[in-house]
Amino acid sequence: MNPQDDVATVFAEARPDDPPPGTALDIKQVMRDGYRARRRNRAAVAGAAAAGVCAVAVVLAFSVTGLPGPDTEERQQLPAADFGFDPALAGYPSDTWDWGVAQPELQEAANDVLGGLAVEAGFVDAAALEYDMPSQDAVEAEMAEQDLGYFGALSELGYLNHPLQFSDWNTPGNAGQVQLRGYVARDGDEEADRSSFTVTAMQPGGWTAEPGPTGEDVFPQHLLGDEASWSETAPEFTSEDLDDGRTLIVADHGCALEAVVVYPNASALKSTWDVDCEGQGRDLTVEQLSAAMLAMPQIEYDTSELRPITGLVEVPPGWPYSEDWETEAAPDADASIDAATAVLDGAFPGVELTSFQPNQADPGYSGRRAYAADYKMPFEDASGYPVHAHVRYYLPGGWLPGLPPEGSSAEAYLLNCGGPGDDKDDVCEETEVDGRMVVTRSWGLGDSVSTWVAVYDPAGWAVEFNTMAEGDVDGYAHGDLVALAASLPAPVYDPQEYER
Amino acid sequence: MKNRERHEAEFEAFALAQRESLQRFAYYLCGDWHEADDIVQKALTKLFTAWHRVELGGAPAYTRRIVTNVFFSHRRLAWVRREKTAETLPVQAVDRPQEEVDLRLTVLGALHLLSPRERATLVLRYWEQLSVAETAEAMGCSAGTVKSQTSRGLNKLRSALSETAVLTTTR
Repeated sequence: MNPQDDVATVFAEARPDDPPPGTALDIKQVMRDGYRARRRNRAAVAGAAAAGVCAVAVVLAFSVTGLPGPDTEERQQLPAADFGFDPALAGYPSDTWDWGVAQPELQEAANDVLGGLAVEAGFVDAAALEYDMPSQDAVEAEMAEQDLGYFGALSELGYLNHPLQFSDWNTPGNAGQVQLRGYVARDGDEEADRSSFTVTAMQPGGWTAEPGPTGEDVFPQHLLGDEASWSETAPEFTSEDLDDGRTLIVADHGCALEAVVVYPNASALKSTWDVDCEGQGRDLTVEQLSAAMLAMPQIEYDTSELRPITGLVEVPPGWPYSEDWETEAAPDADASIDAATAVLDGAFPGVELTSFQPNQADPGYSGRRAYAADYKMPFEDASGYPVHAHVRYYLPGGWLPGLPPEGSSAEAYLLNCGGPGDDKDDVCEETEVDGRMVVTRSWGLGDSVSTWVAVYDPAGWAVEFNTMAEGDVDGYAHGDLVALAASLPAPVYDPQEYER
Repeated sequence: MKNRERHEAEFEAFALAQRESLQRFAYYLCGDWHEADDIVQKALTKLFTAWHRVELGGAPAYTRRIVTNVFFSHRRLAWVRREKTAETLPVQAVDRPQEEVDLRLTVLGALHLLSPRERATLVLRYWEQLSVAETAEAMGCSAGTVKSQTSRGLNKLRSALSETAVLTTTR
């Protein structure tokens, strides 16, 4: 065959097969950098709203304060929305990426009003807000050429993350059944752990302006946290219903301010400002912030994809981050891991406990509490590599037992099976061992097989055993691992403390 | 939100298992092992940032997509732009004695005459052996765009390779 006849075949056969010449990749560094980036994103999106999860009734000492704003007597009602369902219990499709469209009215108003406020209060220099932007033609050309959405094209052109520049944003709601959509703008300082200010424009769907526990666990999500976060005291709330149909809520944290305007079309605008929590000496008052927020317009968003949720997923509330928890839980964690290690050592004499620790949600968030232990097994796999294993005890709260129902998100579950497009040999099974639910998941990459076994105890805790090995190892087959996980003893904890 | 330790263990296992194939893929795109390492490091960092939202089953495809996007971003950097594609193939591409090596180096040289998107499309389709749909997913574009980029890329390759000794060799 003359290769010229089939350039595709020539190309396919010309694939270089040299192995990578060593690697400078550092996976630990990747994770450290990832955490740092995630902190920045979270800080910007969520502000520093506290993540309380106790099902306490929210008691708002709302006081009508006569906040400054336009003359309400002359103000007309703003256009309202009628979705035919409660937008708080709704959201957008979850398979969204690069979905956002340009919001010139929002951006322009933010530049004028909130930009002025940011400069006046000392958050940014005026010059920082004067950045060049590509022409609409350039953006559209990039969108067409690269088959991207508006913000994807902006990013490709290198025009994102400027101070007070909005980009599209979404976050899972109702355990991932739907997404919340909005646009977020920050101070543009990518090196800072937390943006000094964040403005979030929320499209209708999946949220409530009523203060409460923040984070992704609860649905609808609360835009404002009701527990102490920026300072050691819970925020003081003020609220005002305006004649035009808007509602303004302000949360005063002492050293930080948050404000939310809820519009009649069921959208909202939220902004968070770190005024002086670390002695920055910025100068912003509730009155100034209120006036600026009320000067922002109601934006009409595309809500054509907004749909009600098909069922409220009720996940037992997780635990808010606590600075003291790891210390307080250490004795129980030690005892639990000691007992687990003894069982493992009985099955595989010489097993080595390499690390263990109590484990909880990140600061500012709520989530699961666990006792985590890592082991080096006293044997090697078929490739000659040492085999490692991990044991995780999950205490009650923040998760659901079993496998996620088909088509639903795995956010609330300890184990997830691969979905469509899975290119691993991902096999999951839900069984029962001695009256307890057991879920297994295994998948292979090459000859290497990773196995997870989760055992759910009726008392509300679960234990997960996971390991990875290549080839057959005597006594370490799938059934052996299930039996081993099921034999692990109950964790030590105070059940009364974990009754929710 | 998933448990942090579990996140890390899952991610580490995934990253270790995928590392070499990602390095190769990035190398195919950029033609430089050091830059490939840089691309993969950035891509994995982005992946880890979103790991709690990533369906494990779709993680390999999602990661290829991130690698592709990081590669595109790299092409826009000034220092990369300095290495602007040449109009002709490197001389050494046709001067190697062994036929197989000759073929590979020549094709690799020709590949880098293509635009980044065309190059990524051909690499994904023919070297990573993805379907049109999978390539579209990895590229974040439509199947139609994949087809048009493939056609354009192959035409450019055909044109570039038609002037080389390797293509006149009967295999």
